[in-house]
Amino acid sequence: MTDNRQELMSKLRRALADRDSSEKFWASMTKARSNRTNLLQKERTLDIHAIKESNKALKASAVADRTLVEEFAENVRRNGGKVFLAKTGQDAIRYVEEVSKRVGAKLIVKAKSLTSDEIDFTKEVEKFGVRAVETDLGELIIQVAGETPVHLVMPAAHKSVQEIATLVSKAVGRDIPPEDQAILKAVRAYLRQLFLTADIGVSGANIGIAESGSIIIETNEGNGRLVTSLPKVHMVIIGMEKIVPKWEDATFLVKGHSASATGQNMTVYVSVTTQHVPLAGSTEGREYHVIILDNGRSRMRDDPWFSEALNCIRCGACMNVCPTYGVAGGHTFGYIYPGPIGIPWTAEVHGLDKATFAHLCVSCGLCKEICPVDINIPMMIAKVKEEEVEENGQLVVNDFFMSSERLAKLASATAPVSNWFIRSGVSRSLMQSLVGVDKRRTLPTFSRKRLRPRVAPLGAGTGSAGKVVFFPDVYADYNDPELGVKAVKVLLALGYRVEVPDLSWSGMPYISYGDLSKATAVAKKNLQSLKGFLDEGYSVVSTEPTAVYMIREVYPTLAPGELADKARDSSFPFFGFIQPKLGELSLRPVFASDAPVGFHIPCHERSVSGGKPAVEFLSAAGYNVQVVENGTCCGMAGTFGMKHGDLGYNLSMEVGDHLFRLFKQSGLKLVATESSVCSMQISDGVGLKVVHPLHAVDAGRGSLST
Amino acid sequence: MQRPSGAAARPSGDVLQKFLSSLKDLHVVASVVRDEAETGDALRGILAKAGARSVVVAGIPKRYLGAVKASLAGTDATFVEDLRGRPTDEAVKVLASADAGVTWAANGVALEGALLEIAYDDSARLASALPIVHVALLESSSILPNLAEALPVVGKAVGDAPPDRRPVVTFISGPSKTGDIEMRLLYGVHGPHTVHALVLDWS
Repeated sequence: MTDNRQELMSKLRRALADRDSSEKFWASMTKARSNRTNLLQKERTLDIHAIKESNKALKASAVADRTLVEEFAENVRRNGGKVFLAKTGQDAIRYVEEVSKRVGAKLIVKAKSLTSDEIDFTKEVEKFGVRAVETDLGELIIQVAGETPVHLVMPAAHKSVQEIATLVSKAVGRDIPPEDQAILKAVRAYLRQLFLTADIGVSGANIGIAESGSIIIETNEGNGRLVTSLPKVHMVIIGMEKIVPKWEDATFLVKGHSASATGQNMTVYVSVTTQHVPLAGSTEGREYHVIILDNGRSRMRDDPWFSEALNCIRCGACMNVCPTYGVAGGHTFGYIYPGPIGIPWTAEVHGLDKATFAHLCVSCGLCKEICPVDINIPMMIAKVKEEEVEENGQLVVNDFFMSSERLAKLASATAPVSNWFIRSGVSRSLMQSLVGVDKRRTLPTFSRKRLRPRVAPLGAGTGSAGKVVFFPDVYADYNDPELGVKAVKVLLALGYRVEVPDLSWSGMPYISYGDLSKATAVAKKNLQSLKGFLDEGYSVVSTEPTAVYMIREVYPTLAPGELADKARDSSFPFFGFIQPKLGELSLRPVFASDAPVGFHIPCHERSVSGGKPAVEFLSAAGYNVQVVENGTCCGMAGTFGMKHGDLGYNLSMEVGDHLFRLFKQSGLKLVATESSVCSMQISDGVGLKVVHPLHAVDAGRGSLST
Repeated sequence: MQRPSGAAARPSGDVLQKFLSSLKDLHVVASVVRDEAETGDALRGILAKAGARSVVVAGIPKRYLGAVKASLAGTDATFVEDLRGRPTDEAVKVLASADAGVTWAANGVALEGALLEIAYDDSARLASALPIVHVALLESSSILPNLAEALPVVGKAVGDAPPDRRPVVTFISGPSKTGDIEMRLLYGVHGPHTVHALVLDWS
């Protein structure tokens, strides 16, 4: 194993062992998520989907526009500011050194800026004898601790009040008790003195406005205002990707940022700076410098895989929702840039060897779902994984699960012998040591008779309501073909013509484990198989959320073109598809309906339907449905939770534990979920009966019963 | 001091009400005052309650100066406009030692809840950034419905100024706050702990 992988594994081991820290960190992320959710529920005019769409289009065109940086720079100069285009971080630091020496600077006060963290600003300027002090409370804590930010927005989210008091005591040089107000008072007094005596103030910029050469800085604490006003010299370090053409472009960036970062309508101070204005009428010695940082960004812009990373507005929402980041924390799941978006950024600006933490991603897709710029973070992570694997080799267990379809074919053909094998402790121990499948995981059994022969006698149906291709993926074909049969029967009962062509699996593990050439091959193969049907107006329907997710969210990136777009627009989750015709069905509960039924939303269903249609289906059958959720993944993440050890079962169960507790507290006896793998996780973790909603309901048309 | 304003007409009562309720949610103490006497009383009350002995004042338009000055009796008040020409260190000392800052907001923003400060000199900005108590005065007619309508106002204020006199513009959406200690919401870490808005609705 490479040194970087070994380091990742030992960090992960420590993170999993430190339950206390992990619990606290998870609670912080939960709170951050609910702050956002609460705002979106409260502010009905805040249309996050409109914000996403608008921001995505804006950032994509702004990042691609090579004239913007020059226009912005030109306007800064016109307003009397000095502009420096820094190709690298070192170039930027050298410029700061020149200015510092010229003005005789000894002290720099800094506002929070991830871009300056990227180039290790405070440590680098110390090398030429200038002290730089972070003035955002979280950044100050981290600086004194000698750490990197654990989170983009909440850099010290992992520190307890006791630890913070100790660090602040160290900074101010006297003992500060571990009480909020005492810490606040000490920090205010300590930093106030530094603000008043600093020679240079350094800030980042959330947005640059090309048409005026202005920058927008968002801070809640107000330290940014003091950094940019009191010192004689104000230096801005802005990533070249932050520049947008016009004033009005800023609206949704500002709103998307505050809503996603902290659940605020607006950050407390949104400051627009165009030059260093006079202080008490004096302009003496007052200088304004804007360092526009490239540091790999031009290369990213020209790379079709990574250009979207430049759309990031640093809100940190992807961190708040990421299940494994929530357990492992940003020092394990991160380098300088932490979390999901930190993976492509690290690989691109700090190097692939620093981005090994990409393997902590379980491909749940929630980072894209929550992103206010709709960045396709999961695909970039898959690409980083692929590059890392090309460099350092693939894990045996990942190869094993990427062969799931072949294995399923074999296991189905040899059932029931294969099932005996799967249930036997001896063979499971062997599987664990040879291929790395965790023996503690209950694996599904296989059916000898697959779906197609089972549905053949049902006929294809009249097609009075429309035409459907049923896509079973692996589970409803090899493991539980009766689920596929039930789905097909419902579709027939509703008057659809139903075809079950010989499709390949959806290929999710190729994405999870970074084999994009195989993922592309399976995408192209399935799209070709679907082409004739799509041309004839068929819809594609699946009972497996991941299958629909792959067609909608992944295939268009892997095999871009009209066909993929058509498949995306024609693919539906089963319950979403039948929802408009729910009233035509007679639905009866299979299980006792007097007690409530729990419902779990699979991650891959969130972007597709949010699970609502399945809940309505169960409710229509007479169940009292109780959605149990914490806003993130159950931890199973496809085959991830089947892998042996820390980077698999252990991490999976640690993530899952937070949801298991909610299920246990709920006192429910039965759980329904659409995903075959979430079902295993909840069943293993809580010990409850977990069924697909179709197995919980007898569905038929009118008097027709299944 | 220039005073760009995006809304000449009186906003509908809905916009004012939304502004007031947004500010309330944001921990800003807002009140509407209808004439000179009410304005003076309200400001005097705020400063007295805050125990403010030294006050810095910035950007108050002529029409309201009388009311503001009347309320400052008994405090050590400095108008930042008068600091011009004084040595910078001295000016900063006055600003940094003030107990309260009374400043002008060119506009209000109703939906998001913000006070729009347009400063052509950093002494005006520091009057709202340094003291622990900040009182912003604004006209009811200046309240804009939302951020989308406020940004062009900012663009105009910046664009209309000569290239060497562009203002620094700040949307202020509550007191200085941090969540960096175990995600507890705490006020006043660097700037004001308390923010008041006096909405001037004089006839």
